[in-house]
Amino acid sequence: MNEAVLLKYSIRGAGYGEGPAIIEDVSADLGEGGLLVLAGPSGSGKTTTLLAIIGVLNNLLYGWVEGESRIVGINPLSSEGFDEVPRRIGAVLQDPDKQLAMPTPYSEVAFTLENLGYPEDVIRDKTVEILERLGLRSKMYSHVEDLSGGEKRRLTFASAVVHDPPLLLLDEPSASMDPWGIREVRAFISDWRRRGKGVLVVEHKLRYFIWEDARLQVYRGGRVVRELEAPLSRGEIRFLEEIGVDAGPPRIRRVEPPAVSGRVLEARGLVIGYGENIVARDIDLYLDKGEAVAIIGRNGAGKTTLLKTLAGALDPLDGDVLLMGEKTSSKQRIGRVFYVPQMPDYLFITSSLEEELRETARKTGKTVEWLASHIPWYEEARRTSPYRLSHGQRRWLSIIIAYSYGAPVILLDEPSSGLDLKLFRQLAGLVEELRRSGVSFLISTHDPRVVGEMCNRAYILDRGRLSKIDRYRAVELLEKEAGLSLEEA
Amino acid sequence: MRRPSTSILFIYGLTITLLAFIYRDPYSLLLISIPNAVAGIYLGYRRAKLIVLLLLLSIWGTFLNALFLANHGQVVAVIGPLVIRDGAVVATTQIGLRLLALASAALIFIGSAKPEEIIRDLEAELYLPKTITFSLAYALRLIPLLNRDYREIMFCRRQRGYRRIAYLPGDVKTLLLPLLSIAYQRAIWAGITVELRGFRKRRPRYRRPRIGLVEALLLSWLALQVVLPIAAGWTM
Repeated sequence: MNEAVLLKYSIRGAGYGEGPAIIEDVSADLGEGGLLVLAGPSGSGKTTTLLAIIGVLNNLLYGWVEGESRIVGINPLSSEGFDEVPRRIGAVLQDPDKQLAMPTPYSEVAFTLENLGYPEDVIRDKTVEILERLGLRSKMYSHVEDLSGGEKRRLTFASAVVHDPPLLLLDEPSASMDPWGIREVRAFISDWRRRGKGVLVVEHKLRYFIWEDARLQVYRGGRVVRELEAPLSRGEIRFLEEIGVDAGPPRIRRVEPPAVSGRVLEARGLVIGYGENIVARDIDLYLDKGEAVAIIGRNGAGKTTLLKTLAGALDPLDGDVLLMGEKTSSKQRIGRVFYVPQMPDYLFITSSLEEELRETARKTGKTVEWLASHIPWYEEARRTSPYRLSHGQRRWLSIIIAYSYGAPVILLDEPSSGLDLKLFRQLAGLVEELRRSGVSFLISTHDPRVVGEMCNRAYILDRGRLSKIDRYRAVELLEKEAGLSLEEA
Repeated sequence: MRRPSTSILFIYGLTITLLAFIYRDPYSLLLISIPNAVAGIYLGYRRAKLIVLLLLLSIWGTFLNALFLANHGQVVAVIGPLVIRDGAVVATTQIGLRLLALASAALIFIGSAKPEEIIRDLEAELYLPKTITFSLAYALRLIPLLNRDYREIMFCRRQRGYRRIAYLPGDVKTLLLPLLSIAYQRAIWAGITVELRGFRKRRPRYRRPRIGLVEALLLSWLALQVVLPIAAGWTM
């Protein structure tokens, strides 16, 4: 392994526009069959490094890069070199929805080959072959919106590697993936390395990607602060977790049950779905005052459909939903069972944080000061558009908005998606604080950290049925399905 | 019957759009709006309900505008303190029919063309630059995503105590702001992705447009919409 060097870079500084350096003094090389992981907390410069070394930052985003980079013999920082980058790399970015440009898997994959000038018969053969290999052939003419999250992710892989590039670049491949999907990504990386390709992964959920003989660079404040190799020692894992990198096994901490009893939400014999299409049936669940309860399950199992039905966005196909012991219609639950979507941006309606709080205060009768007191970073971000806040800040703001409406139940859809360990722990603290004030949470998740550290009970939604599951069992299952064990780092 | 070629559909849609700006006579506008609206709703409503919603919002906005700027002539209706005169009605009708023709052309195109064909056929047959053809194709890819965003935003607005139907300017702002902000972010990353998949290296393979029976019928109907108002002296 590691025979020819596929990627070699030494960046003295890089940034956006005329702005200051976001990253400084970063360098690395990667050979055939090698795996290099760039890890670090959110905002530490990992993605900027990726964009800088392949020439996107200075050629597309009006940024600047000082230093050198070579990708399989070309200089991607020059305009001519950047033209050749697509032949040498396959890039998979964080969110599949932002990456898929065509309506069907076939046209999505063929688009890459058309761009690179392949003849039509070769395009047809290669497209079908890669879709077959990634298990998407039966859906190659389906609309991409009809694919599950895992299938969309596989499609982004297919369209990135169909031309067989020597280098694969993955930016947070675990984002929006369930453990079943993460196992597929891990298998894909292993397979790709066996073929002699180099793989560069940018991640903060490090534990999924630090295996075999991976090399690791730890980023903090735009610099590489440590270089490590798999397997990691306990001390190294502790160091990584302290700076916000998810490197060790998930914890299962004792989450105190609510001090005050009383049922706030209950579903009896609930059947959920869309029209004729039943997603899950015979759902019985309950939520007591001050509880945080997880619902785990694969992407596409129906977790979001269940939350939306409980929130009143969808009518149940059958069964009852009781709020404070009384049967309710969907309309009666809207706003009382407050749904916070996976993409919190849907909740925002103004162009600055200050305005957002003013508008929320107008609707809820709370004061702006009261709302701001629940947002520790308010002063530094008051004039920023809610859509430009960091992912963790947007998530935080969405929960505060939900809380301000006085809803006794808040439903969180994948709240930890895209959060590093530090932000996750802050969010868990917020949920704990609100729980103590009597708010109940029902949380859809496939993140073992949410189950182990945020919730006091758990359900699993699998094959159209909801059942109770012990928290430890739930965490163990999620780890196992991702290809890890609870003991594994 | 097979679908018309994307290039001919594009020419059809573009010509109807131009006619909507040129024609002033109500009969001419009726000719290009009503039949095309029927065809557009039949072909494209399921894929692009949002366009119909935007059309209704635009017509409502036009009416409010006409009340301020063109409310003269004979009184047509009195609703409480509001006096509606024929100037406002004529202006709203004229602009409404234009908007209907524009939306109908868009619905016919969206309902009949596939994004991958747009990018390939318009490049190869009409010699359009790839930046334009890709933007058109990507806009069609965005429509289902925008529909999904729209549903999510509408529900979030209801949770936050806003009315179900957004008809006042403030309501429309609270709907459009998240819709456009999310679409903008998505478009930036999509742009980076397609560049990394070799979009700037893309070279079209030129060919002649395909003209069969379906295309001939469509072009004949288009010609009629151009010639009939001129022959009947309706145009101006």
